[in-house]
Amino acid sequence: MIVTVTLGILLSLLLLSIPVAAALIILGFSIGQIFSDFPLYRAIGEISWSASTDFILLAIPLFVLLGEILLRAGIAKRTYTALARWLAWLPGGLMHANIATSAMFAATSGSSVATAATITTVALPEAERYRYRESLFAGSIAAGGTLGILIPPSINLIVYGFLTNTSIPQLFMAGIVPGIILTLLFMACIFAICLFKPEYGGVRQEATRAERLSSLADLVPVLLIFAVVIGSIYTGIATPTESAALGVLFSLGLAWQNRAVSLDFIKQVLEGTMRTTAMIMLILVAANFLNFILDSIGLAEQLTEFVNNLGLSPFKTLMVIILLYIVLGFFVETLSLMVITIPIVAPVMTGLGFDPVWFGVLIILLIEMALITPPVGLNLYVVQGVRQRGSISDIMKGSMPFVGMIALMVLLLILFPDMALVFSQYVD
Amino acid sequence: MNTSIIPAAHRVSRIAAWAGGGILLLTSVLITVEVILRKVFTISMGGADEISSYAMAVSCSFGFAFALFQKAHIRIDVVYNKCPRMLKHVLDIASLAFLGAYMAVLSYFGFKVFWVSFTKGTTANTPLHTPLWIPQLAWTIGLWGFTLAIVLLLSATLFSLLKKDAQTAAALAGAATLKEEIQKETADTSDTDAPAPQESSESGGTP
Repeated sequence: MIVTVTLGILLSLLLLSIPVAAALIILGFSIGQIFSDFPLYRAIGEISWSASTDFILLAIPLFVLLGEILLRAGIAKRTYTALARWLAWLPGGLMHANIATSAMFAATSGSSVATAATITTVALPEAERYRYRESLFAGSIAAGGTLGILIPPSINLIVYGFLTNTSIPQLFMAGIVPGIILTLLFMACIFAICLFKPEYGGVRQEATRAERLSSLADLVPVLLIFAVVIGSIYTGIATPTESAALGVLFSLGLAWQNRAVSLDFIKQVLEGTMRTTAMIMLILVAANFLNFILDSIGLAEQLTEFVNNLGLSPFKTLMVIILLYIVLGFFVETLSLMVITIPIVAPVMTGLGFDPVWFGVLIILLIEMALITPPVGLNLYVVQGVRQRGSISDIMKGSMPFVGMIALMVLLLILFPDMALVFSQYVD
Repeated sequence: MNTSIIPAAHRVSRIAAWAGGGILLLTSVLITVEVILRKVFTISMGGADEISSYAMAVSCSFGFAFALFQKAHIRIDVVYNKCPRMLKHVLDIASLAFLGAYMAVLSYFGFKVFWVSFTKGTTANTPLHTPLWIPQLAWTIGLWGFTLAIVLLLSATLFSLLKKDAQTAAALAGAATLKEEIQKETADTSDTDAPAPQESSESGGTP
């Protein structure tokens, strides 16, 4: 009963294009009024204040800031050029650089839109110049952009940790191995396609050894930031929020060294950061209040009981959940999808005995898929938006092989759960 | 009432956003100093995390209005995009009205949070004994500013609809188009000698 009402209200508000944060709050108020005798809405001030001052959440604005600094300092371009020199000789050429650059940027910032947009800007002119098949080329950028939410530091993993009270250092460590494997799967997929259908790849370029060696210097900054951020978490020197602060200052130093820092640069970085931060935090504060309401009326318990009464085995339930995310992922924007579903689904799955960290990684993989499946795959539109010619269906087709790779990765993660848990057991 | 107040409000919100972003930068410095002192010199200043938490609340509430004028608050536009223009206006108005209602309630109860701390002299249950009303006042001001921004935008949109100026109304309150979003994301201020693969890759082909 509650579930039907909840879903009914929420879906209609969202489809009416009501801002997600407002939709969550209206839902919270209505549920509170209908199912509780207490005036729960009166707690909104206290609850919002405590969510707004949650030290763990501070990692989100700081990682956004870190990413903004790196992207606007032109470091993405240098990284791309360097990786192209190392990888362009492979069958599939520059497409490997698309994936690898995305993965490296994923390792420093959490925004897939910014990463995908930046890499499209740098890479797409090359596709034309060297006569790549544009659909697969653009698809590789869209797919590469999704790596950002799996490879730590990832804002989406922080959101999952916040909503489910799961350790964020553990989630970060759990994202590393699946992130690397997925990157390799993407590259293997490009390799295989271009081996059998060379017309998909472009004119092969070879860089000289000297060019390659000199480009190494351009890879150092990004690797250093990854080392600072993830290293400080792994060794226990810093919490995720603290490591983000270290990363911000470090990247600012790099931008300074790149002679990118100016008053205009700072203004743009701050504006970009606030735009993203305010958007995310408004939704999280609202989602947190909705969670409080759902907790108060005991929705999670009811659902868990309901699922138990269905008599499905844990494995079958998992399949249902995966299917649910794939279908919802076609239509719902990803951050909204996460804040709406995770508070309800995660307790049920943990109750069935699944590891919360492992499940977090699984959810993130499904969210990645949602980013590149039509009709509402944000990354597809970002790439098309920068491309500004041809049809978006080219990019949808070009992304299909990568959707397949993500599905394969989901399967691997279910068969070998240790992939996610191998590193996470060493941190708190 | 006329719509020229909106650019002015946008400017004010931009300045508030710079302040909010500046607070975040300072927070990074504070936290970094704390981590270094703690690990290298094993001294703890204590309280860096507490102050940073307040800073985040204030910073975000200062950024909400700017995000509104920049159309950054997420709306799901699958159905919206397929609607005729008239219906889009209705949805725009409803969106602003609902967001405004939420923020009015939150601002009211946010003010109460501040007021209770202020009148009771509540301090944080930490070594710093921070008088909580100080950060809460700044946070509440940000919330009220956001509410005001929504009211202004809603009035300006209604006003231009009354004048049958549908274009202005859509520009003010319509959901963000992807083109605008990408333009903001890829604005690149670097003037370095980075070996850009090709000159035309600079500005993402934006006109």
